[in-house]
Amino acid sequence: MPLVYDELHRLASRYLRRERADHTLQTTALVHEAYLKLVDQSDANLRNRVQFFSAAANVMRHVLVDYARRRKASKRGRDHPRLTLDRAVISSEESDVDLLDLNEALNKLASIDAQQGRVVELRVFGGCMVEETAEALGISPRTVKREWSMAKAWLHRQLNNK
Amino acid sequence: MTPERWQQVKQIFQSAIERPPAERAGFISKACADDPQLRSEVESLISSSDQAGDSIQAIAAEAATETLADRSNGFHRRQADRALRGA
Repeated sequence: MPLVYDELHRLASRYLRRERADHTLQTTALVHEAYLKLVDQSDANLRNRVQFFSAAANVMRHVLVDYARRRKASKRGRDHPRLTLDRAVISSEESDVDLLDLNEALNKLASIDAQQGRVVELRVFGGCMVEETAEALGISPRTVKREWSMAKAWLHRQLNNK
Repeated sequence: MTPERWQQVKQIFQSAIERPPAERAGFISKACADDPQLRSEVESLISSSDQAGDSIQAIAAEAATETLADRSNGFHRRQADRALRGA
């Protein structure tokens, strides 16, 4: 597993060289492809697979949040005015804010309903399908769907009522 | 919101959302007959559910694109590796 981060990096770069506008890049595709590359399918049983996604979800979330925080700070910082300018042109500030807002909202959701928080983490940051999420959490696929639909609604409202 | 209240909202929301859209309003009215606050909370979530689409995944996908594409972002490899090993 130690190679997972490099592998995710490489895959993302490859996706970006394709049509930028088609937005086919999903964390799902990234994490799954990294998994397929890194784990020998003949050895991989479902339990390992589920453990991988569960861990990857948490890592992915921290990676993204950390990056968004640092970039936000570097945009505001006075130490690197040139870098700040470059980055402001390259990327939209809005997306950083969105991810940090999502992270905060997700923390709040998890404090109210830990299971919904975990479902969201696996689905959104781990790229887990309903069945994989169910397996990882030891709950039924139907429960995953129910929790997911409420969590999505709650998060969407939270993010749009700021 | 108290945990009890959350469970109440959850139960009604999840039952409502599994019904055909045309039946939802009636179901919610009935389930929240004596509790307008509960009703308004569930209705607000149902309406948000209709609008949510893939908005949450889109935020993460966009952030993943930007983060992972940045080669200068050499950070947390150790953090990431440690977390995966600990799994």
